[in-house]
Amino acid sequence: MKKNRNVGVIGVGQSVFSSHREEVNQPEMIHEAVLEALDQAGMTMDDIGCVLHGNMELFEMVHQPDLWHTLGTGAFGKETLRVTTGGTTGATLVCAADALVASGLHDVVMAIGFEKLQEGHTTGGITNMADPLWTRKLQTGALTGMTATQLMEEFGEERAKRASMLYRITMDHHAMKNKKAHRRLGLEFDQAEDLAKNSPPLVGELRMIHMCSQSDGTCVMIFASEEKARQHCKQPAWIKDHITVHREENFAVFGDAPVVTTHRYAAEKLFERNNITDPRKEIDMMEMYDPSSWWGLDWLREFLLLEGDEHLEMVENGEIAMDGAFPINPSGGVIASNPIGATAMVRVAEAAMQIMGTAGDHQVPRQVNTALASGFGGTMWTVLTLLTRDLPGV
Amino acid sequence: MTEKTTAGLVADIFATMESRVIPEGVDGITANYGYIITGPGGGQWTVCVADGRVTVVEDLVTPDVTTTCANDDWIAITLGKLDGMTAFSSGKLKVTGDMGLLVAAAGFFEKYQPPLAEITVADIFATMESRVNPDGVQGITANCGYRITGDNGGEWTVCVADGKVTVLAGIKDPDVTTTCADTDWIAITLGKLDGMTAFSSGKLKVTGNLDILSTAARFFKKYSPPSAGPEEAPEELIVLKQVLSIPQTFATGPVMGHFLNALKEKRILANQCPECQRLQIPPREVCAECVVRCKEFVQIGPEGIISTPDVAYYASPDPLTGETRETPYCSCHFLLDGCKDHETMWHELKASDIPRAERGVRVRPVWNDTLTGSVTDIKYFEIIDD
Repeated sequence: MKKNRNVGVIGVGQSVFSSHREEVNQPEMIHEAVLEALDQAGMTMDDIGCVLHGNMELFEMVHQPDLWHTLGTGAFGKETLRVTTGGTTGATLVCAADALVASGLHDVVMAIGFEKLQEGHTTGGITNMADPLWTRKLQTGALTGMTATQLMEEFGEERAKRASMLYRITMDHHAMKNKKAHRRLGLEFDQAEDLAKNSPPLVGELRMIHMCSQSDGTCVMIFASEEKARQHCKQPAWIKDHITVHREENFAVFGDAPVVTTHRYAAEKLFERNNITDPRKEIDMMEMYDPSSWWGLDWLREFLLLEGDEHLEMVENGEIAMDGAFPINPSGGVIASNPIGATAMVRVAEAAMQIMGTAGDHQVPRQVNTALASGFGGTMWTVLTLLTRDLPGV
Repeated sequence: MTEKTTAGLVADIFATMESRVIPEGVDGITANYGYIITGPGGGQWTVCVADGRVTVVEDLVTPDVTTTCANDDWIAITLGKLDGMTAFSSGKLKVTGDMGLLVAAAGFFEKYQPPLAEITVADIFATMESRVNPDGVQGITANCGYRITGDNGGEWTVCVADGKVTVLAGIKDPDVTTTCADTDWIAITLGKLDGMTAFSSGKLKVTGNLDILSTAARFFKKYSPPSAGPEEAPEELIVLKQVLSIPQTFATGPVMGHFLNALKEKRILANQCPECQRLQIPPREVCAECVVRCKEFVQIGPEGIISTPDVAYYASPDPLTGETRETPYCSCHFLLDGCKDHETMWHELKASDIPRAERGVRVRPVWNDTLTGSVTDIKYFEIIDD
């Protein structure tokens, strides 16, 4: 990616993620994360040039929520832009902030992703995303069992089910270390077989235990030009590159199209232009948008350009654990917390925190020099963000 | 609140005070607080605060301020269910001596937790009949079995019929059975463990008709532990409920319109890319692979085979009507005759055919009596029996 100047993440703030935050309204919930991000960046609102705001369009059925939320965002008198690209909203907010700072339009940009799913209707919103003339009547909301079916066909029912549960339980172990995570169930590996069999089915072999939650929560990130970043932050997380790929017709036309997935396509392009030939060696960790443990398992193969059953082996060998060779989702991932408009940003925020060394109890136990974050949305949108500890060359 | 259940609780409140001291709260205070608690289980105590320490004596010892109050009210105040100032204003709590000292006393101690041992699984079930929420059980007929494991456990069946609830010992013809450890069941009942979390994590297991359980949450009014005092006042958070209904109209455009019109004549059309020759169902103006207009239509099907079945066991309520469709249903991709590879059409499989839903099984559409040019013109596809 051609960049005018470098951009660093210098502050991250997150509200507590929960299934219900009735004790605060939307602006108040956003305010929690805004304060934390400003505090971490050592800034006040006076330092912020532009505020970006995003969530799932109309999930809370509030038109122009950015205006109402000014009370909590502190965007009085500032340039404010609203971004809403579905599930990828949070990651697209990062792209937009990066572009605004890299271009020189603003030196410091605050990006806010939020969702208060309890106040709206998630599956209603997702259902309305589908083509009203044909698929709206047919689709199953955000749920599908097709990936489970495909993995079981390819690797055998027993191995696929076990790997999916190992992935799920590893994520829960990570979530147990993250006090802000919504679902911290305290699962143990010896429950794998029981849960895979007895957790209630949602669609096909996608069971309740595999699926992500609906959460309330906010994520805020502060982005600064190289000069400002160095003034305010000892170790910024630099944004090296990002790529957005989507294929609108995926859900509209095909059941299982024999085409390269958006995930693999995005990863191939991103790695190629950043001279990454062996992602598992050259990247230190990944924070993935994993809506279910079936998808998380399957997408490992796509994002890391793996072949055969390498992705299953990574899970079976514990490589994806926090202290493993290639940690995945030290935050606990989307399966643990899913405030949708914030969810994709939480991925980038977690990757940034791992580089900055500010992840606390869920900090991976070795230095993270390069981190990868993915965002995901409805029609197989994917946004990949590459962050580095060292300053990228412009 | 019975005498039996509160016996010992007042004494326990005072007995645990020394272990609940908040150092910052008592810092700099030197005073003796006398308490005269009347009624069964009552008595006289003095809380002596000095040099950041608290000593509780079971007698009145040169108090600087003395509080007199009934046992039930004192328990309610301690549990935060009765506001001390309200009790004072309403005369339930009387104070003699230096009243100013009492203001600081609210910050002396960590919150008192009544001993959990007083809450038994048997008591939770024994009080169910008296806690029935008439609105919650209206129109419901079901037997819910409960197998509570552990020393404190047992088996019960909650029978709901004609707006009444009967709790029987043992499992009797249950429509749904819940299995759970005694400690978890108590925690769920008290709201300390979320039922859905317990279910997800496997602490609570369910066999039988799950749907009944989703209504069971409303069967009973909140359980008050024997030691908890009067019913909690409702929280003052206000939640506004609104149901939006938005009439919508969509233009089909000429390409989709052509496809929908053909359905009225029970014909299924695809359009074909002039370059890669692939078929699109439903038709789209442009082939996204080749980025060219697709003007040619071909008739396909109407019979075909199952390509990818997806059986949904969980349906979300329709956001506009609040209605939930029946489950399971099968959202399915079909490969109709004349199509190849991934040129599938998305529709539904007949519910009674779900057990036989497998790739490659032959199907045909079942048309509705009234054809309007919409997705519902096809009721569903059904498996063709030889």
